[in-house]
Parts: sequence; C-alpha cells; structure tokens
Amino acid sequence: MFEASLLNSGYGKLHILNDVSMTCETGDLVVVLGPNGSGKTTLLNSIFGFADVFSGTIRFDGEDLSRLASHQISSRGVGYTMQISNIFSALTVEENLTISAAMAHVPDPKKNVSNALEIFPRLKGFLGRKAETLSGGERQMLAMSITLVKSPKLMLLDEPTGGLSPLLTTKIIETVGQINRDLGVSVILVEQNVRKALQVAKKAYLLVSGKIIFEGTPSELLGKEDLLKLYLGAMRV
Amino acid sequence: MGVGVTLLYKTSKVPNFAHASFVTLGGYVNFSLVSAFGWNPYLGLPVAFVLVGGESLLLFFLVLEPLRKKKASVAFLMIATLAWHIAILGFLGAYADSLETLLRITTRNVILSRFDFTFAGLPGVFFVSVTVTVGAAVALYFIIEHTNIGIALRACMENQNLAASIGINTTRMLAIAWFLAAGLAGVAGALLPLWTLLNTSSGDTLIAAMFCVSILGGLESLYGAFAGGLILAFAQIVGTTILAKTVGTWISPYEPVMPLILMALVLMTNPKGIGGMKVWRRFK
Repeated sequence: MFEASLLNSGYGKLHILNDVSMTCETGDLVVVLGPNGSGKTTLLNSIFGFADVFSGTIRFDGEDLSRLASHQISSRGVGYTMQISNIFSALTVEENLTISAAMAHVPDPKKNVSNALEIFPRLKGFLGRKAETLSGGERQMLAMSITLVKSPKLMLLDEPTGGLSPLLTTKIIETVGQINRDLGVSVILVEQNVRKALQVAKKAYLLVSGKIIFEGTPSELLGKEDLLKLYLGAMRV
Repeated sequence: MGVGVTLLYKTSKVPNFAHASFVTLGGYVNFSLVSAFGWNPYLGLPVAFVLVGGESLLLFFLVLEPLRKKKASVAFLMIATLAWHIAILGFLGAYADSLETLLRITTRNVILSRFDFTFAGLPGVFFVSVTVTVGAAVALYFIIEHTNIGIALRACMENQNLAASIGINTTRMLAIAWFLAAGLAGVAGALLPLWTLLNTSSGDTLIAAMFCVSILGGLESLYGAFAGGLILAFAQIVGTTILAKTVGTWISPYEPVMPLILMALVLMTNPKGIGGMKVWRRFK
C-alpha cells in the first residue's frame, strides 16, 4: 500500500506541494488530475526522489521512501514512467528493455521482456532499432515497457498520452487499465484526458496549486460540475 | 588520455583538469617501482592503473560527489578538479623530494629507457604502447557495447534521472567511469618515462593534447576521441616531419603547439568535432 502524508516538496527554494496527502491501495488505479502547473509531476517526482521533500512522509509497503535514493526506490518495486525524456534514445529498443530488466534483478529477465512485448506487440519489429527512430506513440509504448519489465508493484505514470493522437490515447489508457487489472499492478496515473482516465480509475484526486482539493471516486468527481468547469474546463473532459 | 577526458565529460559533465595529474602520478608509480624494487617497468602498468584509478575515486567521493549533491554548477566542479590537480602536484613534489632523500636518486627529469627492451631496432615501448592502446580500445568497446555495465554507463551518459528510475545506481556508474578513465591515464603515464623525461609536471605538458583529442572527437563521442587521438598523433609526428623538411628543422621544437592549432581549427570550423559529423553518425 502507498501513502503520502502531509507532503511538502519542491525544488530547492521553490515550494510546490503543500500538505498533500493521498493513498493508493494495493491493486488500485488512482488518477491525479489538475490544471497545468498544479504540481502533478512534482508529486510523482517527490515520490521517486527527484524532488526535494521538505516535510511529510511517503510510505510504500511500510517503508519511508523519502529517505531512499531513486535507484533504491526502484528496487522496492516502484516504477516511474516520466512524461518526457523517458527512453534512452541512443540505445536500441532491446537494450532499453534488457538493461531495465537486468537492473531489477528479476528471476528471468528475458521472460519479463517478452511479457512486456506481448502487451506492446508493435515493439517486436523494432528491437534492433535505435530508440530515437521511434514515433511518438512507439516511444511511449517503449517507455511504459521499460517500467513494466521490472515487474513493478506500483507504477507511476506521468501523462503517458501526452502529444498522442486520440486513437493512440484510447489505446494507451486501455493498456494502463489492462496492466492494472490483469497484472495486478497498482498505478498512480497523472493524466490530462480526464474522462478517459476516469473510466479506468478507482479513485481520483484533484490537485490545484499544490493542494489536494478533491478526493473521491471517479463518479463523485464527474458529479462535481463546478470543479470540473473551474479547474478542468480547458482539459479534455 | 583523451578518451578518458571524453568518458568523464560524457558521464559527469565535468571537463576534468585533474587528468594531467593522473598521468604524472602513473609515471611516478612506475618510476618508484622500478627504482625502489627493481621491477620491470612493464609490470608497473597494472599497478599504475589500480592506484591512479583509486586516486580518482578519492577525488570523486571526497570532492565531486558531495558538490554534485549540493547541485554545484559544471564550472564549480571544473574548478574543483583544477584544485585537486594543484594539490596532487604539491603531493608529487613532496613525494619526489622524499624519494630523493630516502633512495639517494634523482627523481626529476628521469627516464627509464635503459630498463626497456629493444626489438627490430626499436624500443619496446613503441610496441607495448601500441598494443596497450589497441587493447584498451577493444576492451573499452567490449565493455561499453556488450556488457550490462557498459549499457548502464551509456544509459547514465544519456539521462541520469531515467537511469536511476530503472534502478541503476548512477553514483556507482560514475565511480566506475572515473576509475576506468583515470586508470587508463595512469597506464599512459606509466609508459611515459620509458619514452621521455619524467618530472612532476609531465602531465601538464600533455593537457592541451588530451583536450585536443577530446574536442577533435566531438567531446561526447568515445569512438570520436579514439579517431581524434590518431589524427593528432598523425599531425604531430608526420605533420611536423613534413614541415621540418619543407620550411626547415627550426619548426621541430614547436611540435607541442600542434594540438593547440588543431583545437583552434576544429572549434572554428567544426565545433561538434568528428562525433558530430554526418558521415560519422551514419557510420555509427
């Protein structure tokens, strides 16, 4: 189980998150919504040790993650797919996957790689190609696969559909739901496509100016017309 | 040496001015082993590799890593390597004096060529240095391209946050890069007194050549740096010989200026170096 409690974090002297508390039960898919600049990426960066945690706790399976380095957090079963710069473009697709599996010290790295390729079969044809030659959608698939081959218990996904076509967006969101449902991976999803994300989520948070202003089920959030209009109006609701 | 400068720049983003002291230290490690214990000068090469690699770990863990954690700028880190270089120069001066007193031998402007072998009329260092360079290139290629450590190093070179996110201990990877780069510089330094005079500032005279090789290669391309090394060697030896024959032998003492001229030419005409050229990228 994941729990952030009264989290205050940011970068250096820049304070971004204020007393943020959230939970993600084992097997849950939690979506974090909010307008641009609200601190969604900082929240994920704080969980993964890429931002400075000023106060509060971040616990995963009873362990305080805020005291660990990023590679140690990764070894605890937390995977992070960042929004940008999320693949090693100078490495081949295969190298991207094998190095991630090797670093996770999973029992059978090759099996994990082939399992990830079953979820994203489109990548099978590009294994020997440099990742920099992939299209936007393929890059996103590779980025998620890099995290998947580690057999994470908790996946942090930062806008995996950013810049993708509506068709690919639907496909990616469905795949996120499939990963959560079929593989039992807990997911914290930061997403701009509100309605699509809420379709697969069990719980939703609305983050505005570094503060959580709503916590509840997707249907409860969809019932809050005022909140949706005020804070998510510009987003694809 | 130039490949080491490139490796460290690519991994740590630090132009390492302490590289010159790595070379000098390697030279004195070998000189000490030959003078004090009567070792064959070639047996000192692996010792120089390990000791100089170890010295670079001190620099990395005591100076650079704490500064990096405090988010020090590249300029700050570069000055830190310069400060370390000056400290090591001081240490080497004191060490040379102590050795002179203890063993009653000359420790500055010394040469080990009398301990070298000859083959086909040429000094052994000629063959050994070529073999070591080719061996280091092949070993480095194998490590970088075909081992998990190499792939992890390449991953760190490209994006350290992403590397950490997949579980790579980036600090350990940077330490490996420093050890390898400094170790190679140490070996180069250990070969130096077999060819030319060794003194406490020997490495300093090569700093322009090291950065020239790295810049020729494009600063971020390891294989470009290897190519840069070959070009510089060609320019220094063949170029100076041709110039001496055409304009006169008075030009020969100016051979050390060649790296500076090449560096200036590359920066003015093709700042991305060999590694940034279209032909090279296609070849890669």
